[in-house]
Amino acid sequence: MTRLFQTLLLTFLVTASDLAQAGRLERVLGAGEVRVCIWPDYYGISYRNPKTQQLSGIDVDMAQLLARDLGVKLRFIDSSFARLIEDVTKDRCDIAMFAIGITPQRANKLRFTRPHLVSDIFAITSKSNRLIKTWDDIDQPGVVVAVAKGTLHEPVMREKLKRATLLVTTTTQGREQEVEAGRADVFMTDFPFSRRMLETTDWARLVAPTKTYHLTRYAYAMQRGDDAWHARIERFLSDARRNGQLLAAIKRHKLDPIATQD
Amino acid sequence: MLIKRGFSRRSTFALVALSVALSAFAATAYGLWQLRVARIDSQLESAAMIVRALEDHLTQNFNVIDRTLANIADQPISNPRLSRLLHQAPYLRSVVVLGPGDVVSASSNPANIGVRLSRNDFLPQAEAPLDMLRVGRLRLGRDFHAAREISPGGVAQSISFIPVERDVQLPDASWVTAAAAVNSDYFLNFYSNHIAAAEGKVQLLRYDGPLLLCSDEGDRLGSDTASRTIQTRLQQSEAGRFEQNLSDGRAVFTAYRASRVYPFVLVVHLDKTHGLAAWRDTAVNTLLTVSAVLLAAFALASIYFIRFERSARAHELAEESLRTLSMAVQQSPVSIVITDPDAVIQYVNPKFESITGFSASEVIGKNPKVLSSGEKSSVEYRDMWQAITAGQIWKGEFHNRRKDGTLFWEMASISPVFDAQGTLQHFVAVKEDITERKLADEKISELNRDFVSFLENTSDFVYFKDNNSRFRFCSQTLADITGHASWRDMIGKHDLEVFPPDTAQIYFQEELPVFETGQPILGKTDPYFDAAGNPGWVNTSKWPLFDEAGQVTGLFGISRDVTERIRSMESLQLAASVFTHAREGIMITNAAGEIIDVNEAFTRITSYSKEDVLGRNPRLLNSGRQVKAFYEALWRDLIEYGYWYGEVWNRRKSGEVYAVMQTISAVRDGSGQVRHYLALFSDITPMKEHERQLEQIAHFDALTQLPNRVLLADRLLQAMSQAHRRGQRLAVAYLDLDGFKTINDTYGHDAGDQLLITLSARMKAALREGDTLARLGGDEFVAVLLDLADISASLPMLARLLAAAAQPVHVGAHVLQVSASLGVTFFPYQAKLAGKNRYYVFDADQDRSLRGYHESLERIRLAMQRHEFELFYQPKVNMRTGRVVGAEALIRWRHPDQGLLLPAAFLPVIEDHPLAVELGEWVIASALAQMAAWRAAGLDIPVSVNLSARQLQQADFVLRLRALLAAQPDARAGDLELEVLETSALDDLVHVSQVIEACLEFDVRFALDDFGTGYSSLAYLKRLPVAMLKIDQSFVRDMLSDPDDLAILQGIIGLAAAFRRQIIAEGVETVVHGEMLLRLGCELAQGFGIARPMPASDLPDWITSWRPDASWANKPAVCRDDLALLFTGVEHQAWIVAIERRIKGERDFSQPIDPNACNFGLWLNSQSVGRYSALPAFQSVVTVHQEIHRLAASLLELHASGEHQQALAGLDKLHQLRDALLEELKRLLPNAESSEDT
Repeated sequence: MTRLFQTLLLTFLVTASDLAQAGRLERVLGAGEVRVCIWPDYYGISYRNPKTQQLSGIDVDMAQLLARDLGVKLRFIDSSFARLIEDVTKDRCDIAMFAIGITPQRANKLRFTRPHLVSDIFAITSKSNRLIKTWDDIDQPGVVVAVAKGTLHEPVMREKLKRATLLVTTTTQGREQEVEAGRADVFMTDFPFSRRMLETTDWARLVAPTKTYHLTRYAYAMQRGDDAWHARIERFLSDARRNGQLLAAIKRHKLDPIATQD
Repeated sequence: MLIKRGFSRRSTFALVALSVALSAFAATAYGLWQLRVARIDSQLESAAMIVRALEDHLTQNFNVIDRTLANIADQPISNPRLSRLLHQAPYLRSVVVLGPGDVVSASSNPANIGVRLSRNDFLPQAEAPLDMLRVGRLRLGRDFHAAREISPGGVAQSISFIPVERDVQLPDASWVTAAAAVNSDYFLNFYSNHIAAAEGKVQLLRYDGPLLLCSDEGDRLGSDTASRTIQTRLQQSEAGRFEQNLSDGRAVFTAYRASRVYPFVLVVHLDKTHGLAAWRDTAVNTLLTVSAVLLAAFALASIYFIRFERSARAHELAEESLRTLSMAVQQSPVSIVITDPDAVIQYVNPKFESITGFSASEVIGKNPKVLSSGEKSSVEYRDMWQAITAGQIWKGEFHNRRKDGTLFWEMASISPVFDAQGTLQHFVAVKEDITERKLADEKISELNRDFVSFLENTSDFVYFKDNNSRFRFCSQTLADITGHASWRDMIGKHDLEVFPPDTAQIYFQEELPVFETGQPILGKTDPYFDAAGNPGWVNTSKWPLFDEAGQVTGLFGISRDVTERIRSMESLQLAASVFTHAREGIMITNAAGEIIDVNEAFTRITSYSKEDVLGRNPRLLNSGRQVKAFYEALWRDLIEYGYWYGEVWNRRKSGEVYAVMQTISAVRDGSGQVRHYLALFSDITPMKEHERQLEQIAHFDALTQLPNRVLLADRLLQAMSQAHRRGQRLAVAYLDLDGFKTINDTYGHDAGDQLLITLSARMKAALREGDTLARLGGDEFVAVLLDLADISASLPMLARLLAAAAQPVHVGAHVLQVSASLGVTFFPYQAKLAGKNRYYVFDADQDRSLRGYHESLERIRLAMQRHEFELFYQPKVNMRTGRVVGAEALIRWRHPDQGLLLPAAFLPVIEDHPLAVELGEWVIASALAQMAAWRAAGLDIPVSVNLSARQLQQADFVLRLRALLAAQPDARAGDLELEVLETSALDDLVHVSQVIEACLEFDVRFALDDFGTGYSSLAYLKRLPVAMLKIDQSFVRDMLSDPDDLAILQGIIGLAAAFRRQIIAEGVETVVHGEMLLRLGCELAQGFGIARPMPASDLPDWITSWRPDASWANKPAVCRDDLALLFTGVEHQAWIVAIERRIKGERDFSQPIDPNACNFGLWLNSQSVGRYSALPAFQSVVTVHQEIHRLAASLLELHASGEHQQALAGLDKLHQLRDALLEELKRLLPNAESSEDT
């Protein structure tokens, strides 16, 4: 049994290293398809409209441009922040493109592109919530702050909150539900998601930090150790920067307030 | 009356306007009130609709909650299962199930387990299980476990929930109670989204009164005070609407509705102010519109009314003014005529009748021409008609005739009158009788014309000014001298504007008293400048002008040019003064030659007083020295040319004879008749005496009074030409005294002089009258014997001469005797030496003793013919500026066998030979030719040429130089400089200075060569007008190591500066020489250190390429205080040289070895170094100096102990230290550092 396991493991490792040696770029070109991880709930980034099942958002646009640039077909793989590292390292996709905040934990496991967006943390509360008026009301005794597991907000808020109670939900819908039902007072999210809340619900209220709270830069993530693939992606991105495609996509999805200044 | 009519019109207008406005407002107000009633109805309706919709939402949601709790029975009860119920149910916080004792046994939120819920708190109350949802009291907190009771007074809004429960019958028919915490915020969000805070608020009440939630944050939860009115109404009806004022004073439209199923009442309050805002806006707009329309209507009516009133007033005023005008016309002091457009008279006023003598009836219907006198030209009438028919007003004069035939003048103004359509209706003529004024004007004009004519023609300056001294008018002459074309241009101008500042001040200032006192100034003489700017004088009088009150209003003045008069007066005064004070004697006679006046100098010179000579003839002054012919010639000149000029010997009253230089002029009157003779003379007796003395000095030997070399030359020349003319012979005997030197040595110079005097007299006596004995100098004499038929005729005289010389002479107690040697030559033969006390006759061809000398001479002569000589040129420069100031021409002999020869190799041979003169002239001619060639090539180089003593002594040197210059017209004389050896200049100071002066007249300058070697005294230098001193190179060469030479050099430079002579240093061989010379103030130099002599062809290139040494530029002459520093440096070098010589064993060393005792040390310790001690270099100077002395001492010791080689080896170090010390010394000098750097 142990022996068999070892053999299997060895096989897997060999295969993985073969793949690595063969190079993802050659593999993608050889397969004629690039697999892109997205989180389909990420409004403005990679959002699947539940009514039409159509994807939209800056990174959907960018993924399409990438596929065109590589000259291959595009396949979207649904993922989430909770599953991100596993999906990428386990090779479920060639690249994750859903405005992934660069955090130390992720940077240890994944390789990031040069960031193209940068967002602070925002809080969403219920319109009728009488406790939370300003950002300073958040970290107070008795206040419940919800974050979704696996998001960059989870470690940040865990560290930052001193008096309030942190409620970690397993799903991102969970945190919205907790706040709407009044079990939590606020949930923490980023700029794109906060805009989705304001535009699609009639109960959400935005609480913005009075000064910079915690800036996170967003980029695309891929496996570590494949320089050629990373260089290819960076070249695609720098071309898109130079020829204005990136900025056009950012503006199309009204994300210019958080575009990086370059 | 006008005002009253206006008032009644205005009050009527105001009443009508007011009543119209009131009616309009009343109608509008009624309409608006109706609108308001309708709006209130619609607001109440709207509140009712909203509350129905909200109640429906509430009931539906609680139906869902009821069903959710009821469904618990379908599943096994567990916490996760309960949690699942919360999905997609934002109205629920938590769901619990109660166990025995109403304690929570299972919950979606495990924290709730163990909490007890009292059954009695829920409505409707039920002891037994009841299969329906019951509603509890509102609780503060998030969930059951954190729930707090609310006091009856209520609390401020915070997190709260509404507990509900229901009993559920399980499949086994047992009952279990399920409860839920309902999220009140969910409903609140829903209500807030429907009604904004400004529009109103929504309240949810439990049916029994307490407030469960409210969209207005200010309402307190749990309180039932807000619901009292609703409670009362609920007793009548489950739903209703009404207007009310809330407890906070807010007026609202309220609608309420109880839930159909659950114990809730929903209340909607719509804000009345907000609800009626639209109506209020409408009302305000309507009122504004109505007001605006009314206002506009009123404004239009007012404008119309004002117009109407204005025209009414205008009409009334017009009537009024017409009556006034009519009166004015009737009573007008001028005549007025009105015609129709065809000039037919329609109206005349009474004045017209009185002026013309025509009555109105006589002229109406006629043309105004009835008045015409016929004197006005038809052209003028035509112009008038053109003007007035063109619509213009015409003004002019008429010369008309009255009815009685008399003429009169009228000033008329004729205006055309048009109606509103511009059609010509009338002409109106207004006319004034100006006959009297006309006559008066003519008189004034006549006066003015005369006055202007006067102003323009008088030759005097006549002017009228106002009391500000500004010209009102003036004569044209004044305009002329002030540069104005016309005197009218002067009007209004002030003296200060028209006259030169100096004279303007005078004119203006002198007028001030006239204005102040009213007194005239009379006959004052003022300066002025005429039109050409020449100064002159005017005689000025100015009189005040008064107004009727006696105030001065201005002045008028007359100034007359009296320049001529004053000039002649001045010149008379001057003449008188000259006459009186002249140094010359002046004598004036009348035409008959009688003296009429003499001056003081006359008396002084002649010693005749004025009284002595008045009326006498000037003959009384005659000395009798002049012959009659002299006076005849004098008179001839006087008559012919009007003057005579010459020397006259006269006799004083005392009988003494004196010489005068006299000018006599005939003074003629206008008709050319001689009126006076004027004699001016000055006493030239002292001058004459001086002249004689000079002649004596110049031509005679001071000791023996015999002719000197100069006179001899003159006499010899005369004698030769005479001999030539007469075909006779001439003997020239050269004679010197043998043994004379011995006598001088033995008995002294006085005795020698005495001997010479006596022998000269005897020898002269031995010769015939007409022969010449001259002394050349020393014991050398020359005798010239004339009129010799042949050679032998001279022999007796020569014998006499020898005999005379050989006779003994008594000088004091001694009897002295010498003999004479004599050589003689006969013209045309040459002479040469003979033996003692005898003569020897020879000719030059026979001489053999100096054959080699002659051959050499011949070779040089040949070299000249073959053009083997050439000139080299050595540049002379200004070391500071780097400018090349000239070149010295130096002769070279390009010998075919011996190569290039320097002058030392051949000049001494011809030094005493006429060839030297010839060669010298060749040098000058060649230099001039070269200068001309350079000039033609655009190069202007002054050239200096060396002049031999012999050449300089040529009697005709100046003439020959002029000839050489004339032969080279392209060379400038001013560029030629002649260098004379200081020694040769001193030999014959008088002659040389004369030559120099003569040459200066045509611009050729001189330089003293080898200056410093001839021991020139200051007096000599003063008398030699040389432009340049050339410092002898021996001083320059040694000045760096010989303090004496440096001192001489400094002295020479100072001397040159004192006598304002240029100075140039020869022999500048190194840069250091140049530096030192510049430090001493000598800027010009030549020498190998600058350039060697070079062929003429090389000079232009050299000039182009030469640059002075960098250390020369900006090297300032040191000031007096720094001189010591220069000297001390040289002294130190001398000290080092002394050490060196000792070490080399050349000489003993006698200098102090103690660093404080040597000259340098003494200087270092003296007061004078105070000025340097603060400089950084000073300390190093002291240190290095001490080190040098230490080293020198040790070297001397080594030498003394026999270690010669070691001592010699130390000299290098000594030299290094010396150079270091000298460098440091330089840095003490001002600007030293900067000059080093640049």
